Parts: sequence; structure tokens; C-alpha cells
Amino acid sequence: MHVTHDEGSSIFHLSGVIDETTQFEHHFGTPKKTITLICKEVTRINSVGVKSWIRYFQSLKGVTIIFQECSLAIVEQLNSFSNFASGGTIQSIYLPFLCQNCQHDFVALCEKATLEARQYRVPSSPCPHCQGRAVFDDTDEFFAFARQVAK
Amino acid sequence: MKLLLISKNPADQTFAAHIATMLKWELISLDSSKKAVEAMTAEPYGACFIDSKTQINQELESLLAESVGLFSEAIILNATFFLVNTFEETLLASPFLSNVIVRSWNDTTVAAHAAIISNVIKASTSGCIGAKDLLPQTQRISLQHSTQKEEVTQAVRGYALALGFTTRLSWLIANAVDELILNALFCAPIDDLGRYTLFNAPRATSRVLDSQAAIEIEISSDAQQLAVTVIDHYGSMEKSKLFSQATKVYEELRIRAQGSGIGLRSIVRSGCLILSCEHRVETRATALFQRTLRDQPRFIFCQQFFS
Repeated sequence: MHVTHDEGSSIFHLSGVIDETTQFEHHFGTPKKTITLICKEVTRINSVGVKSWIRYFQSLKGVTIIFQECSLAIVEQLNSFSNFASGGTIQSIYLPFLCQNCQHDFVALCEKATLEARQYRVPSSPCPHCQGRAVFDDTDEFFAFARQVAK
Repeated sequence: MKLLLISKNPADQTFAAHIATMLKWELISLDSSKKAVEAMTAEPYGACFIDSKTQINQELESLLAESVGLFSEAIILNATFFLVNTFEETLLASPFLSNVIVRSWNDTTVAAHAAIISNVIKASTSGCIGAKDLLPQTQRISLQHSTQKEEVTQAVRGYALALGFTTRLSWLIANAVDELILNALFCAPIDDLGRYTLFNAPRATSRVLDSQAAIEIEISSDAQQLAVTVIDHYGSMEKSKLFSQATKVYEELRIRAQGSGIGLRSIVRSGCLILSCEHRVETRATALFQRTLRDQPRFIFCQQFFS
């Protein structure tokens, strides 16, 4: 995993694979009161990475964590483990789309609040390749994490 | 060969009929536990599909125990398939637990799911199976060192993309390969007494993979599917442990010892898992993916062979 952030900023951009080689302490050190994690470039997380993630973020007592632009890999884990967000707030996630015309798959960013307001109904979207009709390429289970939190 | 069906569920009957037709087997529907026991013990069967929730299933165990005993060779565990609505259904107490198929098909996809599953059933009748037994075009890679895991994972992902799999599926496939290799590296190795030797080792531990520690990977595909098998040479799979790990529900992850099975769970959320083990010889762990995520059948087959 790679982490970039501007000096003095509390916004971290995460990218790549999170696995047994990932050392969260090395990347984040001792975070400030609030940290924002931009997760759009996180491509996959293996089982060892999941454990390291939860272990690290749960250890941050008194730190507010905000997750933005969660990639599909992050949403997958949010849906698998109820404590993956470690008490943090999910602000936005990427949704998977598949074009019905050219089969191109792509993702589109959506605010969590917008999804809630739409009751998790996702409208079709124009394909960036062929302008054909692309539909949400998953089931209702994709939003299970959000519904769990809302309970 | 016979396909026994112990279910009154119309969806199961349609599904089993497709499988029997594809395998050219005789479908025998059994509507009482007594008839089921008679059929199961009369002669070897090719497959036995059991609705996990049926009353007959609940009676079956005690009737079989009374008639032939639960460890009788008449009960062919590798050929016994439970039909369930979700993986989480409580099956773990069943001594017959080997294969679980989730009713994830609908009227449109039932034939396609039946074709995929009948292909696996047919292949597994002759022993331990891997990707090459399921799909026609096969490539084989040998891992020389544990540090090659990421390289191999990326290579398989690239192959999936080249075959036309979506970007999302390619990452899910990559993760499945990663998890299967991790399992082969750290969960499979046992000593002469059958004790796990690396189960608690840090997963970043670097190792040379030679002689019994060698790990091979098979990648097979056709126009619609991709299968990846990771082969270890320990044959140490523990069926009940794997099932309990792979079918756990959404929960709070408690950080504890290694090997808690979240890798296997991640595979069965996006693809199918076939674990085929020749006791103390080798384990072939296969993840099978369809080109479209929504059309994936969902099953875990966990088969053991003793030579």
C-alpha cells in the first residue's frame, strides 16, 4: 500500500494492495484528532491486510476517522466485517456499473447521504466508452454495511 | 449412474433434473427417509442432493446410523450435496457435510448453473480435481519462493483481464489467488505427526518452496469461466474446520490467531470454491469464476480422497 499526504495535512490518500507487507504505523504514525482517508485507489485487501487494518484503526483512541471515496475493495470489507470502519464515518463510496451495450465496467462516486435519500436505488448511468446504458452491477447486498449502521 | 434427490422443493427438482440430463444419469426422487436410506445403501450413487431443511434430512442421519452406521462406505460423502438458501444455514453438525450448493439460480440461470455444477461433479468422480479437470485451456506455474505470491497474483489478474473479465472481477480473482497461496504457504504444512507447522507464523515470512513445500498453480479457462487451482503437497485439509470458517456470517472480526478463514470467506462471496484433498498427498484448492459477477453460481465442494 502507498499512502500520500501533504505535510501537516490530516488527509491521507491510500492506494494499492493492502496485505501482509502493509505497516499502518509506518504510514500514519500518531494521527491527529481527525483523519480523512481517501480510499479510491485501494485495489484489494487480503485477509492479513483486513486484520492489520482493523487492529490499527481500532487502536486509535480518540481519533475521528472519515472514509471518503471508498473503492469497491473497501466496500467489500465493510460488508464483511461490522467493525471494519472502526467507528469511523463513511462519506462516499464508489458504485460498480456495467454497460449493457459494450460490457465496459466502471465505477461512479456517490455520497452515502445521497444513497440513503434514494433508499439505495441506483439509476442507470451513461457508459463513458459508448454512451450506452450502464446499470448498477451488484445486488442490494452491496449496501448491507450502510443498512447495518442505520439500524 | 443414479442421482438421488431428497427434496420436495420444486426448485431443487428442476435443478436436479437439469444435472441428471447433462450427466446422462437416472434421477430418482425420494419422498421419505426410509426410501432415501434404501436407495443410498442399495448401490453406489453418482450424487445425492439433499434439501438441508427437509424433515427427511433430519431423519436420515439416525436411520443411516441404525442401518449401516454413519461411517459406512455406502454413504459417499464426496457425492453428497446439500442444497441451501445461504451458506450460513446450520449444517455444521451433519456428519455428511462435504458439498454445499446455494440455490442462487433462477428460471433464467438454472441451466447454466446446472451445467457448471455437473461439470465439476463429473470431473470429481475420478478423484482429486483441479482447474485443468474443469476447463480446457490450462497453464501451470510453479512457485519457487513465497515472495513470488504478488507477482503470480498480478499475472493471473492480467490473464483474467485479457480473457475479457471485468476489472472488478479481475481484482476479486487476484485476491482469491492471494488467499489460496497464503493458505498453501501457512495453513497446509504439517509434520510427520500431522501437526501444523507454520499456522501461527507471520504471513510475511519468506520461504523457499522446494520438495514437499513446493506450490503449483493451474489456471484454466474457456470463453465464460476462469478457474485457478493452488496445489500443495501436504494433503492436510480439515473439512469441518474449513466449512466452519468459510461459511461464517457478517460479524465483528476479532483479531486473533492467523488462519481464521476470512480469506476463504472472501472467495465464496465472489466465486465458487472446490477443495479437493488426497489425504497426506496433496490438496488442490480451486476458485472458479464466471465472467459476470451476478451470474456466479455459489457452492463450496470439499472432497477428500484416501488412497
